[in-house]
Amino acid sequence: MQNSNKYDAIVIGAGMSGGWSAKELCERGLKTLLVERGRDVKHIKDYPTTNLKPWEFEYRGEISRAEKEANPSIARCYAYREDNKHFFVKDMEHPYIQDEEFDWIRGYQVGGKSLMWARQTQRWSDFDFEGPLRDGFAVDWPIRYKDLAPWYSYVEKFAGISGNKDGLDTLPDGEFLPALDLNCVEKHFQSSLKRNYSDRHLIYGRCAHITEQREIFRQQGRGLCLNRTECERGCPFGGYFNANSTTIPWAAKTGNLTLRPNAILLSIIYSDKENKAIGVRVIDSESKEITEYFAKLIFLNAGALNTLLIMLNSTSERFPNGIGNDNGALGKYVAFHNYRSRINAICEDFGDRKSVGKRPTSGYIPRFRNVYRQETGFLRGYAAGFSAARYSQRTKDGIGQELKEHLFAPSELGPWVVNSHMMGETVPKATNRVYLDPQKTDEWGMPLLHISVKYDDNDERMIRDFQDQFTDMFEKAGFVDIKVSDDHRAPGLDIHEMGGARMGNDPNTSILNRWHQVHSCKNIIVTDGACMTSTSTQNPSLTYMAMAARAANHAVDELEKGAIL
Amino acid sequence: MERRKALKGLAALAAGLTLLPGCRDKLQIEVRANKKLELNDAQSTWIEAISEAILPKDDVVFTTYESFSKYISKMVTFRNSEEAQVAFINGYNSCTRDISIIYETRTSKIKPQQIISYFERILGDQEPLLNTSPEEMKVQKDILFFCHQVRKMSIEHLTTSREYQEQVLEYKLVPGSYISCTKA
Repeated sequence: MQNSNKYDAIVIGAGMSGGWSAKELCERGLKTLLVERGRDVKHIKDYPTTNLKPWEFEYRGEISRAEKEANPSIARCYAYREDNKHFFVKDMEHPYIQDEEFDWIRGYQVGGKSLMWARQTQRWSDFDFEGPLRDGFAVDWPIRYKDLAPWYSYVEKFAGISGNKDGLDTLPDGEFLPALDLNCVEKHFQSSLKRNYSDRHLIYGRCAHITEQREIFRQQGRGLCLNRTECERGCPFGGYFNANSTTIPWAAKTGNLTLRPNAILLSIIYSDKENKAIGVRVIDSESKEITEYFAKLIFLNAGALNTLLIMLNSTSERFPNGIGNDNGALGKYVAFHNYRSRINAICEDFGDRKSVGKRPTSGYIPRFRNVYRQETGFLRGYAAGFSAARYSQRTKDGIGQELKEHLFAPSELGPWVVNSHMMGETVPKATNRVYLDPQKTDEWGMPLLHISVKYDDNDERMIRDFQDQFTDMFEKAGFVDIKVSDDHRAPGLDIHEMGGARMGNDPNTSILNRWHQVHSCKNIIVTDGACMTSTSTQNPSLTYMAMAARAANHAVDELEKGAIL
Repeated sequence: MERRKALKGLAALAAGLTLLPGCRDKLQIEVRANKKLELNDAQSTWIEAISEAILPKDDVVFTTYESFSKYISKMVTFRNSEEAQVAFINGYNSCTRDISIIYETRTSKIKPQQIISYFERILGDQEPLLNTSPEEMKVQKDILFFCHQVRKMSIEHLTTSREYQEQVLEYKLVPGSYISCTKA
């Protein structure tokens, strides 16, 4: 064992949750190796398109047809464009096997998907944590809101979350920076919901944008969000939270961080003699050289399905079916969010009003179905995004001088267009799973991952309910020309894949304990999406951040007490 | 010239062009897909003339780095399927011949108003001529496709230019404040 390869902790994956793990461990004084399979991306310096204007893009923002055909999954992602395509993993370069159609959207680089995430940040409540126990699915979460609440506050203050204190028991308030305002049509809908329903609320979508300067953000070198809404290119002001601008440089400032990009994790090394994980085996993505690194603590933050891939590929005499997989549950109970349905309509009122400029978020309607009692024919429920906007319109009719005059004429504002999309909880099932191909490998020798995840009848019933309920809500608000749609997208495009190494109290039915430790190998800690026992309806990143900070600090406490090793 | 007769002639010419590439004139583009369109000076000049007729930009000073012919030569291949690329080139070739035949002159002598009239007629035709052979039907479809595409790309070329973005759409890289509701 070379001393240069020894650390106190190894964090696998330098994205949303891995950045937090590294920051906490480094701040607590642990020499930490942060392993990232992709290239390094430095804040600002490596955002090549951040200040480009529309006319400076050779293809005006488009992706070529040939590239779309070669990469059908990412081509379906709303955020994949000419201006940020360098942050997306090409389907063909990193293949996987779709037993069922699954669009796996990945970002292999330092910062991971935190560079191009949607930045929506809602806390879970006990309606979410108690869901599986109450409704009889999955297994009971081993934690409750009170366990995570202080860690939500902790990460919110550091990341910068804007929002209002809405006082909703379904969506606990947090440590908020000032919110931007809803527009007049959104407020009209908010009032309509309040008037017509006791349990439905439209709020400003809480999001990870700095709307007011604070000392902590100055120390991070981050500035205010200036409403460019070009976030997925990387923000030159650090106006939104990502690992590149915030957690990773903060960890580096401690002097305890070693960043190792271009290092693909092959497996975790388990010592049968010591009954614990002792290190990791990585392959350099360029030179293909294999190196082993050793540490007392190993944090898995590779992104849910890649964490499962690593765990399943980490076999030993003690764990022939993957590390921690004594009960066969590893890779099973994968779930996601159901974003299939949308509804849009026209608001004929407020013709004398408009919004000016852009904002980085929209309205949010927390889950209201089956919250206090089971009231529908399906389990669980859905949250929804909601926004209203008016668009400038110019006719493009005619040809010659007539066409030119139309294009240069003053624009006219169209009607208010309102739209909403569902974000439904899916119920984890053993049949929704990932597993390794016994023969096929990628170019670095890692087995290809089979993904076998699909919708079920519960999801179909939920979609119909969303469409019915929102039609009713829109009609009550006086909206017209209401259109509902179901795009029948495959799972994956929500980019909220979760589970597969779920938390639970019982080692016979779960992989991780309440501190995110593998039940049967406690110095492995999983705090990315793989740990999720259920999905609820909230965008999950804020919860991953809080979980990562909580678990890292607990692990160091245990290490200091000598309780882990 | 009677329209059907013209189509018959164009269909024959299109077939001949495919078979005998050496016989094409300098305005005709070689039919091939998945390669950037390489336009010679005559073709570029003619494409520019078409675009300028569709959307006159004579009094707009552009600093955009590329001409319309350069824009179109990359975008046709970039965004279209192989089938659509071939249809575009065939449509251009047939359109070019068609216009020359209709106005009985070389393209360099054709006036903008004549191009406009031609496009208005093609784009205004909702249905292809009936009782035409499959080859003639294809020529009609390709010309229609070309006319639609070149008009659409002329508009794009203008509306994505710096001048249009800044002066007409009032684009700002850093808009700063957001006002949720104000008087329209």
